[in-house]
Amino acid sequence: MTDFRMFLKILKSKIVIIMVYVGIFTVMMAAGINDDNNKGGISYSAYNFDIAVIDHDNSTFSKAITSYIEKNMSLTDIIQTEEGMEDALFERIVEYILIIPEHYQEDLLAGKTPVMESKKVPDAYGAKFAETVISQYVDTFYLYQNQFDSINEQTMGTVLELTNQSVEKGTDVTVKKQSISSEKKHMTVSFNFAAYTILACVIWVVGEILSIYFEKNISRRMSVSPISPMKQNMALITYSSVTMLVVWGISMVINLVLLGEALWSLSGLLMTINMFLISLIALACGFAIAAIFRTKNARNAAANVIALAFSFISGIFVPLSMLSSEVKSVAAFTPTYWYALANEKIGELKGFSLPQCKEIFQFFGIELLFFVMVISVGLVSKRQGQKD
Amino acid sequence: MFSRIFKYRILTLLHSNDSIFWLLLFPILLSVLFNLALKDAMSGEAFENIHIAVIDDENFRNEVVMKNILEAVSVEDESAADDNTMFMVRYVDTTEAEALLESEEIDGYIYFWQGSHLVIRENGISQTIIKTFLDIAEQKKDIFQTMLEKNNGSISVELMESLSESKEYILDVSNGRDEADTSLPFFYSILGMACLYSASIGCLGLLNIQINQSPVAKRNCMAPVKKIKLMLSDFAAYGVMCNCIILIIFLFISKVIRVDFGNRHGLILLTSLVGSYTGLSFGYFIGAVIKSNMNIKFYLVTGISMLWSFMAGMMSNTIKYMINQHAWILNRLNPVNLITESYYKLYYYKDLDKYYENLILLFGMIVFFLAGTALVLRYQERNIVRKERKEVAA
Repeated sequence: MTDFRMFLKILKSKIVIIMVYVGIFTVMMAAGINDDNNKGGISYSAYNFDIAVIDHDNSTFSKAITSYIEKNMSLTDIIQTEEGMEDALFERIVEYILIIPEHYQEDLLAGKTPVMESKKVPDAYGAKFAETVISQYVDTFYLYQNQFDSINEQTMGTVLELTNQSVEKGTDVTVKKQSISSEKKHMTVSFNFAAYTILACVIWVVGEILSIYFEKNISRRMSVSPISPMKQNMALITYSSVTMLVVWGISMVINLVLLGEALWSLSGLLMTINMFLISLIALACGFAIAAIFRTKNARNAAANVIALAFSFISGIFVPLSMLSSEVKSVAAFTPTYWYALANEKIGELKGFSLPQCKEIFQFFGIELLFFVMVISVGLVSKRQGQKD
Repeated sequence: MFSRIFKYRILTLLHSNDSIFWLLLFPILLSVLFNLALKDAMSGEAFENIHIAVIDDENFRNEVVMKNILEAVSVEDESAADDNTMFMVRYVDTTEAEALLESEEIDGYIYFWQGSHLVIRENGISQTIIKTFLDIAEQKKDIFQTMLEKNNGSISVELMESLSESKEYILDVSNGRDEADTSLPFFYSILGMACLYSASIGCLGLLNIQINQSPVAKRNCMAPVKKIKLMLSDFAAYGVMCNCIILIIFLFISKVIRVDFGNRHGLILLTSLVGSYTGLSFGYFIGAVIKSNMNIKFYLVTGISMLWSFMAGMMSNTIKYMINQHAWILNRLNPVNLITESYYKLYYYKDLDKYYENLILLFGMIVFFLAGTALVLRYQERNIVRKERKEVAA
């Protein structure tokens, strides 16, 4: 109990930095999970391409076309300067910008054929899509307009009504596979990102605390005590798990706030177990780092490198589907790859089906093997260090 | 004396594994990881022809309008594709279409029975495009039939033309540049972050001359050298080291990872140098203003640099744009953003007004940080002398 109290005292001294770490990553996690362009489900839902409309005309026509665009694409606010537009395209905030010039409707009513302007990302899907959809609307408008001898404010309304009716007609679509709901996508992204927070925090904090116990003189004093090394190691691992549980708990609370009710499901439960397993691995990494690296700076560097490298190459920051096969084959040697893969499979889970769950449990098993392997490396290194 | 101090400061820094890791190896590692993660993620946005199948049955053969519209934008052989081609089409029966859809060789298949119908495996970009294309084709067909009924079965050549081909109602005023790689700002922000990491060296530099901060500073101040000379030689040595480190990172990112920085090499070099001096002077300023120990100062400059990097779009480009949109002043006062944006302006823009504005702001920051450091040091020194005089008098 005395040594556990000592451990808690050391942990207390690090609590501020844990809170800072988790706080920073929460902001990043919240920013990351709100980026979603597709609704899920078994019915058809269009992909929401991002587009901006800059309406200098503010007329009936411009409002009608803007409202039509809003139905088919995701209207995004951008900075309406030349530089703001260029930046929005470069940063892919939008892929297409439609500029409706001043007096556009006036020119239409005067019988002219005014042109709108566009800026786009060359060859992008969104740009092609936006162009096709907008051209169809304008084409249809002109077709109906040509049916009238002259056009005025009143006939403009009729033409727009006919145009809107016409462009609403669509094809019937059958979707074979249920898409992952946006709720589950958010959950997968949120849990994936939590792995980075846990790795960065747990490895660093456990490493820092255990390094005090592994310090030469303290380690020597401990080795002459009447407690066996096995018992000592078990005690240290148990105490460290308190740190791990604190970080895991904080991450769970954040997930609960961000995801709400979605967490109270089978997928939520499995992802929670998965996150617990990655926390165990982080604990083992912290133990190994404390045993291998003797200086504070080296431990700090190692913790950062492990957390960042694992997260970048194994689907934590970037979805697995977007990584190249070469990167994925290297990533298979990291525990976070199996963690992300398990989360992906859990996200695709439709109810409780044994074959699907079996695959997920296999991934959990691989993660447990990683834990055993890393903790063994830590124990061997500690023993080696003591011998030296 | 200047050259001696200069030499020893360089040697001290070269022997500091910690500084070398955080200033040089960490940004290099980060750029390698960015490259691994973003290389494929950012390359999937260019439009490629969509693979579809059409059920070749009696209904399809009886279709006239839809068949023509579809054939106008589809090819069966990839080599026959041109700018108007949207779809790579296969004419098959339902069983084969189902198999192709299941094996994901096609994004969807179309069958005709009282209108057109689309079958897809799951929702996505290509599926949205196929659906929109069919919607438009159906709408055109519908208008055609309505017009035909309205005009008692005859249709004017003019109307026929406007139905079959779309006029140019939208003028493309894009800047005419080729598609820019979206991953570039991420790499530029690594350089921005690395420049600001020089601040930790700045803190270290001040530790050597602030009497109340370290024994080394006390010894330095006892030496028969003017303090300004001491500070300048430190600043010059650290500046050279930081510049070299930034240049190594730049060369690694541009030559090994092959990130495109454009061809304004002189200005790119100038941006890197000004950037690293901004970081260094920021470190001196924090070192002078904050009285806590070195660890706290180090955590503070690292934390601020990370926050600035986050705001400059290192983790998400939308964050940077959002700040520019709603609180632009924050990004104008963020040196990491100014550095990142300068590289981007040099790469993407012909007009360099904004780049020079950024550079002036960075120069302004250097002057502000150094002047602030000098003032704080002067104030602190006077305070110490005053205290000692009081003690002697007492």
